[in-house]
Formats: sequence, structure tokens, C-alpha cells
Amino acid sequence: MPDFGPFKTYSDALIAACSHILSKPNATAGRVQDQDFQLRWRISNEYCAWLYYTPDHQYEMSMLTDQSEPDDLGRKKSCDLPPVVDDPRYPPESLKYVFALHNHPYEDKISDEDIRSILSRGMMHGFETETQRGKVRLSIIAFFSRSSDPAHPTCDGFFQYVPYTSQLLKWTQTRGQWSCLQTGVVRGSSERNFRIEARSAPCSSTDGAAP
Amino acid sequence: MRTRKLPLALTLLLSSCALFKRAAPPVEEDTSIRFPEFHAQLATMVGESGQPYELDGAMLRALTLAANDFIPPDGRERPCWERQEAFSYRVIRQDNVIFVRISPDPAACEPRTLSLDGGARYAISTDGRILRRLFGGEPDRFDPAVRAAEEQVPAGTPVPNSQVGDTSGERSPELPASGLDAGTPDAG
Repeated sequence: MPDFGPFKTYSDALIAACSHILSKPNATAGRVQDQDFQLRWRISNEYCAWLYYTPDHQYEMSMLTDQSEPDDLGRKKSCDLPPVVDDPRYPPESLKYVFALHNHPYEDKISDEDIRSILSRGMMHGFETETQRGKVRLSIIAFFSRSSDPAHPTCDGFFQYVPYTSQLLKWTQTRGQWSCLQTGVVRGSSERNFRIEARSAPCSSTDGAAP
Repeated sequence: MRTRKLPLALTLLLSSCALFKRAAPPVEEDTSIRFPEFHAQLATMVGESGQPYELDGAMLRALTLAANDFIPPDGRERPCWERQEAFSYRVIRQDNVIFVRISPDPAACEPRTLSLDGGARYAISTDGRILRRLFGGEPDRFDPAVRAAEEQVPAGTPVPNSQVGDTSGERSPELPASGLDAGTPDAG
């Protein structure tokens, strides 16, 4: 994508993508308790893109899309992420799809539909990818802003689901310091039938699937 | 002059009728209704070959109401992912209310796009009224739990920027084995 990256690490790419996506028109609706939330929610948009790994060992972001189901009432918020990235610099089969990125217009967790979509993707194409720096696990990411200022939305964090480890994570940023909290575990990883177990734990506890 | 204006007025009237027909019927929302967590438990999957299943009329009506409200059967030719059969329907019954969650079925259409946040939740009375509906990620603004969750300061572990989004960790024992042997997209 022009004006974005490339990045050597996915962490750098994620941090840049957060601000980039949230700065798009109506990507944020503020906080639920804000007086103008309802109006901002109705006109808000979800944007989505792939973060992918190239044969040059770089992370790139695909073009953003805001394609979604048609809606007369402005209440349906969704984003349809194409299955394939078209990057004419590389053969299609050489690209490795790492993170499905999108925004939530307010601070909302990964949805049941997000979990379904990324599980389906992983079951078709694999849940991890080999890179120069080791294996990276397929994830879905939902960026959010807590800012009530639509003109200057801040990147305040993102929710992440990693099917390989089954973990649901919440990442937050305060004055440049990032923090991580595990918020749950997804059990029974079939794309149509799973259950979500709420669990608050430090992210250092990486074995999310342990009984 | 009046006769010239009449067709225009009729056109406006008819087009506005058509516009209202396209929109979903208004729902008087009962904001006291709280939606359950639809994925707190595994569901019983209905529709396996050779097995008998039975739905009562109230359940069938609730499902029909929800599906027809979400995607009205207006006879239009729609792309695959805009049809009722491209979604799955999860149902929880609590006393006289039937809760329906409609979610895109990732396997329903080819090519498989990732439909993020699409879907809806409905609360339908057993006598056939839509009591409440929320689309996609639409917040339940009247649920104190939703507001409280936003106000909480999460007690996360500080992480250096170089580890943001870290995906390391043990493999989940429940991860489907079929997904472990691929690393490139659409190779087949």
C-alpha cells in the first residue's frame, strides 16, 4: 500500500497500522457514553486489510477496503476482506497472510463473526507462517480509539485473537507504553461451533489452552 | 401548471413508498431485554444427515421473522453472500423469548471473503413479535455491563514495542490439524 511501510517486524507494522486505519473517515465513534455517540455510530465505517509477509522479508499492508453488506439504516457495521492480495511485485503464492486487520468504531472486543472468519481462513490455509525471524501465527486484529475527537482519533489499542494458541488478547497503549491482557480463550476451534471462556490473565501466561 | 406538477408529486410519493418498502420495519425496542452470550457454550448442530430433528412452531416463526427482517425476501436477485442461506442461525430460548444470532457462514460462498462483524442479534417473543434487534457490532448502550466495560482500566502487563502483537505460545490442543501444514494462501 502506498504511504505505508514496509516494516521489518509485525510489531512495528501493527503500531503504524493502528493510527493509519483509525485516521480514515468515520473510523471512530467515540465512547458509548458520549452524547453524540449514536450519531457517530450511524455514520461510522469499518475498514479492513491484510498485513502480509513478502519474499523480501518485509511486512506490508494491502489496500484498505470498506466494502460491507448494504444497509438502509446505517446500523450494520461490517467489512468484507477479500481472500487474496494483489501485489504485482510478487507471485501471488509467495505472499504469506499474517494478520486480518480492521477497526471497531468503539472499544469492542473481537466479535463471534471475527472468530468464525479467521478460523475458517486458518482451516483452509494454515494457522502459522514461517518467516525469517521464526513462526508467526495467523491472527485477527480489531483496532479501537477511545477519543471523543473525530478529527484526531488516538490509537488506544487493539483486540487480537490467535487461533493457534486459542487466546483472546487486549492490547492497550497509554502515552507510548503498551500493555497486554489475556481476556479469554476460545474452545472447540471449529469455524461454526466454538465457545468463549472469559479469562483474565497476564499475557506472559502464553499457554492459553491449558486446562 | 398544477397538472404538470401532478406526475412529479406522484413520482415522489411512489418513490418514497418504494424507499420505505426497502427499509426494515420499525421495531419498538424493549431495551430492558439483555442478549445472552451466544457462544458461552457449544451449540447442538442441527441438520446432520439421517438424524431426525423437530422444531416447534414458535421457534420456526422466530427464525423466519429474524431471517426475513435481516434479509427481506423481496424477490431481488442477490449475490451469494446477501442471501439468507449464506448465514447460520444460533438460537437460545429463555422462557417466552427466543434469541437468534445471525452470522455469516464462511463456507457458504466462493471465494471465501472474511466477513468481519457482519450479522445481527434478535430477541423475539414466542407470540411472534420482534422485541429487540442489534446489528453487527452495534453496542447495547442500555446495558450497564457494556458501559462499565468501557470505563474499566485494564490491568495489563507492560510490553516493549518490539513485542506488540506477539503471537508466541503453545499450540492449542483443540486446533484443527488440517490447518497446520499450510503457510501460503490459496496454494491449491
